[in-house]
Amino acid sequence: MIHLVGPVVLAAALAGTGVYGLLARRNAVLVLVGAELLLAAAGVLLVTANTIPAGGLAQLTAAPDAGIAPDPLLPGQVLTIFAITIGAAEVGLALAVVLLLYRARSVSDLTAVRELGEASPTYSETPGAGASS
Amino acid sequence: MTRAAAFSTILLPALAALLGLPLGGRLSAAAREWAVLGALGALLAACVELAAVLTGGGLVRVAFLGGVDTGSTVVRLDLRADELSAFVAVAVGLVAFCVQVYSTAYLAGPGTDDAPTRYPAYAATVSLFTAAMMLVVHADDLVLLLVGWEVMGICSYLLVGHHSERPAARAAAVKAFLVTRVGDLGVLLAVVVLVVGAGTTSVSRLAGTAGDLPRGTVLAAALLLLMGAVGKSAQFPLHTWLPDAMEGPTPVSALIHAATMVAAGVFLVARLLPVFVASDGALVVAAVVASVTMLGAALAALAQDDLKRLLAWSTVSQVAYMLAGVSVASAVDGDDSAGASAGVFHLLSHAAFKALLFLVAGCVTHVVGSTLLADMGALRRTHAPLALLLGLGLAGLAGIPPLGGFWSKEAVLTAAEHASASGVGWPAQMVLASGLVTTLVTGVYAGRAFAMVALGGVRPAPAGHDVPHGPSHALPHGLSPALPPAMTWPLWLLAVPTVLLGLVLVRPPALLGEVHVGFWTAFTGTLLSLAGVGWALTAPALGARDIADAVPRPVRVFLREGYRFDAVQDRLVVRPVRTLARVVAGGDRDVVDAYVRGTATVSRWGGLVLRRTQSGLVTGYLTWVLAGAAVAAAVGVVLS
Repeated sequence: MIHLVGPVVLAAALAGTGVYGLLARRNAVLVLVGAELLLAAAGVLLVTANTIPAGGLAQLTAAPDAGIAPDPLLPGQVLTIFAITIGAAEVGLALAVVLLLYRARSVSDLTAVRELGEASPTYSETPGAGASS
Repeated sequence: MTRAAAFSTILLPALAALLGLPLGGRLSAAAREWAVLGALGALLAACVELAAVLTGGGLVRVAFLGGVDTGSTVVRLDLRADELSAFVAVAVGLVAFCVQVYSTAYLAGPGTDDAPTRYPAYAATVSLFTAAMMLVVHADDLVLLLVGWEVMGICSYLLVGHHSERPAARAAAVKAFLVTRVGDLGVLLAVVVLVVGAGTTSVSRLAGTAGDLPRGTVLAAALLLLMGAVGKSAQFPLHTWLPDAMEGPTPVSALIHAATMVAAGVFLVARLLPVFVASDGALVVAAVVASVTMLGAALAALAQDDLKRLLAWSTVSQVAYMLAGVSVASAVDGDDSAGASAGVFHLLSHAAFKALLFLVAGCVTHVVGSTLLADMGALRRTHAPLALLLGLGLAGLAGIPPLGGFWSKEAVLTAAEHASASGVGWPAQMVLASGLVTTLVTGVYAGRAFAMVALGGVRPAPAGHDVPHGPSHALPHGLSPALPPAMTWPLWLLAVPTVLLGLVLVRPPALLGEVHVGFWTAFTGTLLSLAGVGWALTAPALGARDIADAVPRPVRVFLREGYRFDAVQDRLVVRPVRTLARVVAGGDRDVVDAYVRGTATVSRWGGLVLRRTQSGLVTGYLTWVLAGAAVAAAVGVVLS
């Protein structure tokens, strides 16, 4: 049995990297990687939390000899599998969007495609209408 | 037999209305035939019904539309076919038939710009009107009666406003609708009172149990029903719609005044007589209303300048006679209903002579090109048969023996006289006094109308007037247009009952069995009406063309405008209602709508603020998402 600190630190590192990827990177694929890292962090935390007995961590210190009775339905693991499945589908969709963007504009830089924002300097009601001509 | 005839009187005109309308668009000639055939069918069915009822006795309850279980009571939508139904149905059928035949000629051609004919719609509405009145006449249940009653209301609205190009016609139609609606509310509430208080709205059952009901229930029901009758029959104070309703085509006036609408109010009282007899208060109110209306309307008729308005006021006055007859019903020797019989008898004779008078007035208008009395004259020389018919109708109106109007009017007066002699007290005496004075006034205005229309010299054709309807308006002025046969023979048909209705009393049916004509009452009444007629007829010979000139001018204007009752009504009802409507509309606009418009304003300002955040930068959006997640996590930690 490993100590809880290891998985929690791993999750924190993954989440931190993911947030960095989301906020600081301009390449669309890398931003996507950041999002996936966040998802992975959530999965690690879920699996870790599955080992915590009902009643919380206080149960372990209050009655250390009682032994750990994990939930037979393994909710943490099941939920993680579920999240990975959805994440896979999401990545497929997101990569398709990135691919289409690259085909249309030959860029994958997110700061270069701001036409849809009403407050952006390049706002246009019909983005792409001028580019195709 | 009776059953089938009773059904036919209602269903045939309704069928004609249904068929005439869609066919009329494509083949306008067919609309004529359908309408006339429907009215003829109704007349024949009514005659068959009358014969069957007289020989075989009436049917009190004929299953018609089954029962309606309302939860608290079962409303049985049945018909009845007794003598009252049959007699009134014959009168309605006869007048409707004459009106339909007359209309084919009166409303021939496309009409003028401000008065297009629209014959198919007109004929279908008249047919529907007839069917509705037949339903009222035959209904054995107040709910079923109310259905016909309301259909009549909408038909009168449509017909009075038939020439909807004219603002006056539209105003008159709305007025007629609203004023009669006030009365209709009374009938509706009476149905509610009877359902709650008596547990039934069936006429035949009410007739049996009216005496056993609580006094309060009966009095409330009777007063509410009287309100309905007053509205429909144009009695004071709901009489103002009838003179204005003259804006409708003249045959419609004949129909409304003689057979349908106006007669329906008196019929309702006669039909539910047991309820009224059980509550003396309602009868006293009815007697007061009838006495006031009778004399007031006759005086107003005396001052009119317009033939049609004169006849309209005379209708108000004559219907008051019927109501007066019914109102003294309880009086005569306990359960004797002589007064009610006399009232119904007057309804029948009035139907004949008033339809005749209106149709003659239509002919006169056709000939002269105006409805103003001042434009008429010398009809005796130009159209002698028409003058004879006019004379017969006016003699019936004035009650000159031996015409039908004489017998019925004297029957009403005799009933009132019996009632006052048998100790009913002041209501009957008031009815009798008012009735006798009205007889004199009626004689004067009937004589005046005859003197101005039929006697005197030929008037020059009025300038600027054109014959409002008919094919002959292209004729040059001065040449009297010939009357089409379809406009004359219905008049002769109506003249028969006008003259001969008194013969019914030789072998009176059970309905009229109680009608007595007291010799001295009749003698007094005849002397009064003859004096009035003679006075008016001799006026031209004495140099005054119009006997109404003898009335001082301000008084005459006052009478002509119907006692300025419209102004009172305007002050007391119309303006407060308009003010209330403005207040309600303002409240809706400035209070309720303000909240709705407020949401729009808030959304717009919110949109203006929030669109500042739409930078188009995906990273920026993600920052917000993460910030939101952080806030949510913080809240979760703090709250847990």
